[in-house]
Amino acid sequence: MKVTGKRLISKKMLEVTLEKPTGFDFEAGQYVSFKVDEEGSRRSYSIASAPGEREILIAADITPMGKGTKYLLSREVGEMMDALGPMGRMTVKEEEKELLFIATGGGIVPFRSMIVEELVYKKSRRSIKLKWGTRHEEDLFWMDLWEELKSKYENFRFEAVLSKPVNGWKGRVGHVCDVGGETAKAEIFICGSQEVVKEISEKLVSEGAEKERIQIENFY
Amino acid sequence: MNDIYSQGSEKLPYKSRYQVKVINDKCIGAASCVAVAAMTFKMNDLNIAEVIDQDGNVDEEKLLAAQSCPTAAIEVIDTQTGEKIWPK
Repeated sequence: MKVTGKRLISKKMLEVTLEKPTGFDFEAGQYVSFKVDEEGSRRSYSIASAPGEREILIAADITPMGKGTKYLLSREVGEMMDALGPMGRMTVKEEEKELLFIATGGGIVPFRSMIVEELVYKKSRRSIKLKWGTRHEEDLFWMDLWEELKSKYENFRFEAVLSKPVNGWKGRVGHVCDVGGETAKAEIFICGSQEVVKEISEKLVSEGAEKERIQIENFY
Repeated sequence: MNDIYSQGSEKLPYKSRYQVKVINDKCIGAASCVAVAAMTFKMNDLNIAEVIDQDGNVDEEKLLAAQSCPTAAIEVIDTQTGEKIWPK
């Protein structure tokens, strides 16, 4: 896949735009694996763009500065990236259930694809809720998109929850897993760091959510 | 004939050189191994990858499956030399 653009979308997150190869079909929620060194090491990145969009968009936390980070930072516009995929099984089923997305940090990346696909391309009328937890307000990104979707589609609700806000934050404060009572009928998707995903999933199950209706994706 | 091949695989019976092993504690259930080498790996009920047939895919596909694992939870051993070739 050829790199067509790169930009920082927060202090931590790098967004990379790639040319979509002819015949590259994927489902919203899937990811691709990129070869990041000559030894053959690969790193996986969720696709943030919806299948209906013209280009492939990925976004990654660049703070770990591991092999994947260094590789992404070193790619220049016009260069190729050796991609394998699509892969992954966290996808929306063709049902009419409510959708509840719970993300922490960069775990929101695959949800961009899934939510844009449902609202914009499938014109879905089902209730879609997105809850996104980060530590600080400066960790949030794509806020213009979430606000635009919220104002345009009345079946979409979005809430950012900060655990360590600074003065001036008018939104919710606390833990993103405090979703109380909203899980009864929903198909639930959770994405974020392994420990947090496990914690949220266990909490929801203890509150009555059916395990079979929860799909998770761990970032690491 | 091996059951796998009688269940619809288009591959011919194959004796692999590389042996793969899943390190359960490292597996996070990403299932990229299954996407790359579906005749060698499957996800179990706990969403952990497990090996179902060492000869299910050719060596190159098994190595690629290991390289695609985001947590390096799959070890690849060259049975002819005894060398661990992945992760390096």
